[in-house]
Amino acid sequence: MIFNQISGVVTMVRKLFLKREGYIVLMTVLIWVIISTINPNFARPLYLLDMAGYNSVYYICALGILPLMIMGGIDLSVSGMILSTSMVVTMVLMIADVPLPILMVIAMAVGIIFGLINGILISWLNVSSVIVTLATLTIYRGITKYWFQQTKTLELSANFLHESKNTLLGLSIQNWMIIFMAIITFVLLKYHKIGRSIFVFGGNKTLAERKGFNSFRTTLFVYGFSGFAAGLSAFMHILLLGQANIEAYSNLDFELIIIIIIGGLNILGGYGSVLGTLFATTFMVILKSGLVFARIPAFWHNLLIGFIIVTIVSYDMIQNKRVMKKRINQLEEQE
Amino acid sequence: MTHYEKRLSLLLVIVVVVGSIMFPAQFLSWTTLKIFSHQIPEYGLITLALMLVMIASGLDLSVVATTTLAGILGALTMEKLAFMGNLSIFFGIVMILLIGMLAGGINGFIVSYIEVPPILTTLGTMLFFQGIALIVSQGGSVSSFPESYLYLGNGVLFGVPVPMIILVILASGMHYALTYREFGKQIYRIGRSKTAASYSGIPVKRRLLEVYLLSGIILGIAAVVMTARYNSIRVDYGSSYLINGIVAISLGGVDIKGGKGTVIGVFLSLCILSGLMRILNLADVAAYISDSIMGAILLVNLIMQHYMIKQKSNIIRNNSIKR
Repeated sequence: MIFNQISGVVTMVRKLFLKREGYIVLMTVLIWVIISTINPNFARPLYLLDMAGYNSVYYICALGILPLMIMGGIDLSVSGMILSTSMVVTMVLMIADVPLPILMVIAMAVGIIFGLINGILISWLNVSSVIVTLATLTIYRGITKYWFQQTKTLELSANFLHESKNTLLGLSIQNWMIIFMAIITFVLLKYHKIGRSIFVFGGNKTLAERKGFNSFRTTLFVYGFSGFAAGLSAFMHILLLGQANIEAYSNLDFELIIIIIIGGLNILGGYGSVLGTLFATTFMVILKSGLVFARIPAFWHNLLIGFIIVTIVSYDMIQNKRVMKKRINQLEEQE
Repeated sequence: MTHYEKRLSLLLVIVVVVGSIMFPAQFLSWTTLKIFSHQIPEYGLITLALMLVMIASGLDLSVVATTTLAGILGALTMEKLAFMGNLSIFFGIVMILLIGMLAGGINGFIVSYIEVPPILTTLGTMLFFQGIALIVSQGGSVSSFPESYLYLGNGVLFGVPVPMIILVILASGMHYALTYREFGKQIYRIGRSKTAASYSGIPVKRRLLEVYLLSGIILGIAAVVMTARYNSIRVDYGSSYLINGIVAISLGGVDIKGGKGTVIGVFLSLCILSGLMRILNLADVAAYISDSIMGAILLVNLIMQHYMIKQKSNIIRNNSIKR
């Protein structure tokens, strides 16, 4: 009886590791254990929850650009969208004292608009998403920085901050938003028609169009979703700090891409999962704050992250090639 | 000159005319020319390196990181070998060029032999090189080089600044190699279609590696000019050159998908952008806003190119219908 259960667990674990997400789960646990042994403070589960809350921007935005990257696009303008959303939120607060939930809806709507601008430009001009989002990034960032230079930075009222510190079932609003975002992304990708069309477009564009999937609508949706996540995370960020910090997240866009790739995305398109993204974000967050905990100088962050991305992507490509070769050999043998 | 290059020269004329109408006294002056001749080489060299890679395969995000890494390591070499006098300059420059080549070689190897998409490769190596530069320099700046080294960045030869001369020599060399040599023609073919190129007998992998090595050397030269000009180097130097370089390249008619673009076009677009920046500067536009304007130019240019391509395909279609 017990033996059966154990073997059941073993097959489950083996199944997980046959998937692409396997190694990131393993690495996350490994790095957590290593850093916890160096610094026991790190081992408290509550600390992990707090850490997730403080880094909610990473979680939400990573989930937001997941569909887009499955489709084969890249969005470099996420940090620009976060900045401009916080600018708009500040403007709204300067005009009127808007209650918290309405402000959140406004932030999301603004984010969606920014995302849709990207989507429209990309599908209309039919050019690489890298160039378009790089252009919009510089535009958004320049305008926002100029605006914040001219006016005083945002300061939230104490009442407001107090309200945002409320917890539900022991989880902060940031934690709940991560869960909400994960569920939305999962359901959309797995059970909604648009999610399926994203996978098809990521796999083979011509095939998807011949099958009758709407390219324009899918592109718009995907970039709008990324904008939505940016708007939501901008609001989370404001709630967290009580102010809009324009210097934060200057490297966010690159880090997000790295998170998605570590999370098991097939760089040739057509594969990626919510679970892998969540674990990859946790991995990055642990790596970033863990390096501090393990008393490794901050200078090493970029080096380690860059090294990891190059290794993982190269490994991925070599593996892809090997599989292709095997298939070709099998076909030749059959003939 | 191609059709697009003619259009660019027209744009350059428009920029100059607008500038001299708006600021008749300041724009048409020696100061403007001086600023041009110092500003253009700085990111012109980086842009040329970027262009070479983009013709053959795709976007290179690691150009600026490579430049600063090479500059920092070279500067440290010069500092360590300061007792050798002027010989330290020689070793420093060799070091800079070697690091540039090595960085290019790493990129080239991963892109050509492992076949990782260039954007992802250079994204990773960008952070990697930045990380090395940070660790080596401990986040601070390396400064005060030998007097004669500074000549490479600030000196004047026959009334022309030395960096400009370096840029012109390199650009004409590249123009020659790209248009008249078999090497250049093969690069364009690889950029248009790798499969077609490899079927027609071009050693695609070796050519790609060579392209990255060459671009690494050019980046090394850019690092020499940059360190010599400012007499110091830090990790975050030139961080705006990446976006500016991409804007210049896109305006210069280089296709991000590869296989298109000329040195003349890029050079013209460099002049146009410098002129625009001078006008914005004279008009007292805030630095952040001029960054935004750079992005807007990139977008407008994309839209214009989109309609030009449409026009062209319409003409081709009409012709084929007539036949």
